[in-house]
Amino acid sequence: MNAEYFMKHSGEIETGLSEEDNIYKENILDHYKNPHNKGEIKHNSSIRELNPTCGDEITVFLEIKDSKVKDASFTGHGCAISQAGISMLTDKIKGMNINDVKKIKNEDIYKMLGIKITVPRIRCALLSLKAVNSAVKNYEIRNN
Amino acid sequence: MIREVTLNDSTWNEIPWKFEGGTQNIAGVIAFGKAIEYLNDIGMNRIKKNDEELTGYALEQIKNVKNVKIIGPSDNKNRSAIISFHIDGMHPHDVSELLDREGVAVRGGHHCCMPLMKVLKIPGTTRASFYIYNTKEDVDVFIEALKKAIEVFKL
Repeated sequence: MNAEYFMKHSGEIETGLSEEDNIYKENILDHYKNPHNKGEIKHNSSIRELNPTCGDEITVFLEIKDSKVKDASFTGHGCAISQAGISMLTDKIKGMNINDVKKIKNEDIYKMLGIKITVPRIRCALLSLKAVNSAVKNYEIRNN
Repeated sequence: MIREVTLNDSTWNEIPWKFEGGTQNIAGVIAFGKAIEYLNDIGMNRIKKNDEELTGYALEQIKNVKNVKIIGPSDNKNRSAIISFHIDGMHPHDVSELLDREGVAVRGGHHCCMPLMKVLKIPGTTRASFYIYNTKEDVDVFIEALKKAIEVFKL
């Protein structure tokens, strides 16, 4: 009886990916499969951040000189959104002044990813920014 | 529950009463009785048979899906109606999100077993389970959704 009910009603649920909802766009999958800046580099600040409930994990390495991000890289694993996010963000912050890095907002990350971030994926999307911010803070504490 | 309270001292009642302060979970007890009735009406053997059939069928189907690695026994003899699997190149949360979009509810992640995932050298698994209200058609929907999910990642 229950099975019949579910079969009958499952047809009414809208399924599949609309263009707007598709979070697995080409650029996300590209960065996920072929991440930029992956691997440990020579650094003077590094930090590991995780989403404990889902297991996404990012370690960020920053080489900062004269308040500028000379080089940035990461290691880690997790879902496509979290890993593509840090791949893109390490690209973005290279050469940036750390004061500008600190001004990066959550919305900037959503824009950078170019996909619609739903509530359950917010933490995946923002793990990269959390890690970069922690690494910058870490550097400032040690050098001021 | 307490045995005695004085101005300077208190002593607790014996087990189990010391742990049962307040009103007991009456609604929960009644609901549990109903749940047992429900299961007995269907019959535990029937449930077991259904679970085994669906699990066996799902295992056969899932073996035909490229890139999917089943965690645990490959037949339905030594497992309950639950199948954990991993797809190389796809994180379990991406698998479960894509299955969800097809109306298939599974759990993805490390299932509170992070050390085990480390031993298996995978970030986590996706886990599909079956029960008395599931049918072979449900398994078919799940398998189709799984193929579609893998297509999205172009593996």
